[in-house]
Amino acid sequence: MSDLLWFFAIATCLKLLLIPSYHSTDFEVHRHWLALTHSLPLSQWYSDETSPWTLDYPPFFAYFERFLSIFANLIDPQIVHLQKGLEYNSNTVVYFQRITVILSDSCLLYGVYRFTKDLDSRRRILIWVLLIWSPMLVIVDHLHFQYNGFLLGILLISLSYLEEGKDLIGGFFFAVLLCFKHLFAVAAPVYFVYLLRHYCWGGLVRGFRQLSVMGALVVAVFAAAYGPFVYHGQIQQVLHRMFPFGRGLCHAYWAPNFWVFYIILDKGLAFLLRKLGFAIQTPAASFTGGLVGDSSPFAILPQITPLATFTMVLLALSPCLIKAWREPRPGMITRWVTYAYTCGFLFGWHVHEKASLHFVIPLAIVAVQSLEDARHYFLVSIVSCYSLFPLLFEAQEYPIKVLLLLLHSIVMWLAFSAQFTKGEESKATAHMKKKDDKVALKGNPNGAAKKEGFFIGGVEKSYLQACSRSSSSVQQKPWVQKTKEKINTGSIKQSWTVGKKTKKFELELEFETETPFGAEDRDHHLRFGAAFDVSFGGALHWCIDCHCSRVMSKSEMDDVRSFATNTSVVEELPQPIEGNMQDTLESVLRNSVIEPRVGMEFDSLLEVVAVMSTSEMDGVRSFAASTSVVESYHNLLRETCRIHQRVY
Amino acid sequence: MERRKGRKGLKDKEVGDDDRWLWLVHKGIAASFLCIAVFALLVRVAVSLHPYSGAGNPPKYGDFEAQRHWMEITLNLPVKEWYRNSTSNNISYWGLDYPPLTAYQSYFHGLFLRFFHPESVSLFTSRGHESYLGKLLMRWTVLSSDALVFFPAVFYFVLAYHSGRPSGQKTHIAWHIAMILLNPCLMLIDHGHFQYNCISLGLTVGAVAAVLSNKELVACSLFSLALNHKQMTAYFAPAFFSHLLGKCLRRRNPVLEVSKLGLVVLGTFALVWWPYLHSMEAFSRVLSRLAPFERGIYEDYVANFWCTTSVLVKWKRIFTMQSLKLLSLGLTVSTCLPSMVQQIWAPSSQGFLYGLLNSAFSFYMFSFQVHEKSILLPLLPASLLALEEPVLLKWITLCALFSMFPLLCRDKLILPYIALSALFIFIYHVPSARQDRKETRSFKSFVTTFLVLCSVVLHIVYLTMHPPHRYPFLFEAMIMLLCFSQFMLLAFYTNAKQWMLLKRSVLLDKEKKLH
Repeated sequence: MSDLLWFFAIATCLKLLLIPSYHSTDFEVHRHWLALTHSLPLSQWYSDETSPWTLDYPPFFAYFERFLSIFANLIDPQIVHLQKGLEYNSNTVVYFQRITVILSDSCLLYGVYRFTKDLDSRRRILIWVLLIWSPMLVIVDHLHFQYNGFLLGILLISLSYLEEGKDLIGGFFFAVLLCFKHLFAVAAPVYFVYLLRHYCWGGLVRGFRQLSVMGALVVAVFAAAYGPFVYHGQIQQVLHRMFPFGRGLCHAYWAPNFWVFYIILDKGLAFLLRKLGFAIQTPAASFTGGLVGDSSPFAILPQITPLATFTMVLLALSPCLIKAWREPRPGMITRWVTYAYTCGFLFGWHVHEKASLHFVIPLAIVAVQSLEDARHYFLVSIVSCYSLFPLLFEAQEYPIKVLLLLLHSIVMWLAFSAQFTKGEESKATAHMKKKDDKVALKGNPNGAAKKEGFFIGGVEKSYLQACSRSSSSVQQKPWVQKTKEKINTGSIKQSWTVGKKTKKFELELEFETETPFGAEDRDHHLRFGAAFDVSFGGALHWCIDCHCSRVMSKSEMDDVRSFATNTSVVEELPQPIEGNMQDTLESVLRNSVIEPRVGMEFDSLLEVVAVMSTSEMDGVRSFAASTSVVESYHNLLRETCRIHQRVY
Repeated sequence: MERRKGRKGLKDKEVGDDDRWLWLVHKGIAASFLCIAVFALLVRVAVSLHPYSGAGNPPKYGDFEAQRHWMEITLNLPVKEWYRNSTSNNISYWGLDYPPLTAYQSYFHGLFLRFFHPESVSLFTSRGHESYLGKLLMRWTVLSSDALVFFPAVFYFVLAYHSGRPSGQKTHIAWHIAMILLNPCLMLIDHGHFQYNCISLGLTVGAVAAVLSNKELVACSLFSLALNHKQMTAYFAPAFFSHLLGKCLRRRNPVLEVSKLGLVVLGTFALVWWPYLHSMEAFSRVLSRLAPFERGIYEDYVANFWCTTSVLVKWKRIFTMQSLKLLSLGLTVSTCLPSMVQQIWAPSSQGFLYGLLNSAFSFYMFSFQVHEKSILLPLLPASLLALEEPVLLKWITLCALFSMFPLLCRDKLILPYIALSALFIFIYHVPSARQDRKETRSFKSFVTTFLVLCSVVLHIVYLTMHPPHRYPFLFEAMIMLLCFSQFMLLAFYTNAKQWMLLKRSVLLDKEKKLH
């Protein structure tokens, strides 16, 4: 966390330095909203027309401005004066507004923190570098002036909850986000389908209950936002302001989306046909400002209506929606939401070039997952950052935007190459691993295990063993097969019956281990698998196991046993194995019920394996540190393993 | 990532480098330098958004106007007129008082300005010219000089410095680069206040790097160029002189070596001064412009010996100008003599860097006509020594920043002052596995806390309170006193440290002989 704060502090220093730079009319827009919300009663917020910059964000943002205006009033009352404040541009207002943006970025900070707290340190730093030092956010928020960092922070918080499987809170934050800025609604279909399938599915009664809980929550959020305006009879006006469909297909600066090609095609065709001698009328309306319906801005091609763009977006979204319907997997939600925003950007109505932030920022989270994703992100972020350049058209900011992009590209190049190019040589082993998995899947773990010197994704393997023991259907989906630098990734989905309860669980795992495990680790993982299914039943945060490779004395053994009985973590003390590494699965399992005999030649004398919470893990850790028995311990699957449990 | 500590822990230890910064350093020094340099440039551009000295403050304006005026003069008058008072060149209005290389540099930058914005450098009419484009173009001249002179010089230095050392951790090299490039004082003075220190300091760094890589002739010509850009660089001259002399004396043919170096220096000087060498009169005129003795022994409130002690002893009243000159010269020479002797006796790369610091310190403390800005000169070798003396660097940088605080307040540069100090402290305390935190004794930590507290209080007092009418410069004097005492302390420490090096080398020699 302190590292993250460090990254944020460096960015903040730069942001502070950028305070006197150019700011766009959006600065005056937000200043006017401060004045508007401060000096007018709530009922007039959306009907006031003192300035052309009328309030066109949803109510939560208006409340946010109202909140800020309290401080603005304390600092300089002229900022919040409705008439006198117009075009007010003194140092106080510039400093005040700029600093509010800098402070509101702490929301982004929290979002990033939530996302990265379970990741390994390299990926974590990579994400921090990409998000906290994002050049696009600096350009749009701290030069051009907007509050995107704050809003994207809420989006990240929502996504991080979803990835953890806490669907309700994730949905809540998304609803809140929609009440801050409705442009984020493009991802709403994805959220809807995902939450419906992942949260509200499974049995009529239960599903209905979950659905109503989620529905009530969302309705409550919207009621909090829009309720006061409904009460004042202003809701019509609010909606009218929020959805100005009269503003034309494209924004003043063309966002680099599909409609640009469409327009160019139209112009080109018109030019060509005119050359060929057809009489083509030059359209009177312009693309950016003209009112829809007056006349078509297109010379030849059919006119585009908002409905058409809406359908296009939904069409483009449909593959992702189908996928989300079929397999609502928490690990994929960020990817899907990013995809949704990309569609919205490409085909949406009146899209700002700033909207590219909506997908570039969450895409950074996806980018660290594989080389392929990193490549995509590299290209997309550079192009979208470049597309923001027209926002800063004054000479003074020219070096700033160029240097920001340059720095971002260099950092990405360095960071991605550090993350992904090392360990190309391990591809071969990854291939072998695949083979082994196949063998294991055929239900012949012993045969596979007897090979010497193979590398397998140890954890994956152990779960497979666990599955075979609990005798249930096993379905393995290694969604990232490209193994880089000894990082083994994979996922397993399985369901089985646990114990005597007749509940059926579905387990979904996405996990990573950094070290490929050799044959000598096999026993240990068999044990891990065994321990796993006993202590199964909650979200998995931490796993730890302790090693001891020497012979224990009686008192030491007692020590360990007493610890094991005292803590709730160790549900079953794995027993020492008599014998050696060549044991088969059956013999290991058989051994685990034999009473331990102290003083024999054991390979691995003690292993404490459990699925536990952070605090519980700290307990185990401290025990491991205090006793001389445990020579070493390691956190297995510490970082990215998540279990999503669902009861049918 | 957490590894299997037990069985595979050994591998981790061998890798050594901090995992956090692997991405920055894994491609080698050049890549990490590039990354840090672009960031440093970005910070500089951001600083240059802020006001310059004397903005909107007629009739004399400030250093910005001086530099612009030099461009105007050099661009529109023939070379021989540059330093002469005439109807078209009023010497009393920001007359050129830097050596010819600065004049040439002004000429080239003037060409650049004239190409884009002729009004900003036209003769007479451009006096006090202030415009959006004019400011921008001027700022860009500093930025480009920084990027073209200082940055490559630092890169050369880093390569030279780290090639001669046992390969340390790469993250340390990156940190070292950041410490040199992101020096808040240099950025504030060059890109905020407006000056071209980056050129003379860059040339000096280049010369230091050349010395470290045993290219004495290159070093001599680079340092002569630095001297010809800003006469203040002479603060480093004793160190260069003594180190190179000491090195030559150890060679087979000392006289030849020394005369080779002397010839290079003379040649470089002759080249730069060529237009003024045709007559003694022209030469002495330029020379007299460079030594502005009429401006008094100190300016404003600078934290050096003369200014601080003048609170008690009125030097200006007791002594005449002539005797003050001699006195200051004597004190300066005698204070930098120990470090010179050390370098002549036992020249070493390490000792050379300490020598630079010591001679710059003694000049800053005791020489004639010192600015607040002159603290940049001792700061440079301190930042070059960052890896050996991290605590010293932090202390001296913060103290130097503080000593320039009144100046920066006048320039309305408080925001960049705060932001850059914070940036420096954050980058100094970068989260890493670096272990340089020595155990501080309670007394020492008490002293540092006290000093930090004092300076913070003084900052606030300076910004918020008005000084009493009888003593309008009370707060400045207090800041000066605080900084002076710390500078003295640091100067003693670095001198002692340099002599300790000698002791260590003698010990090493003895050991060698014994074995």
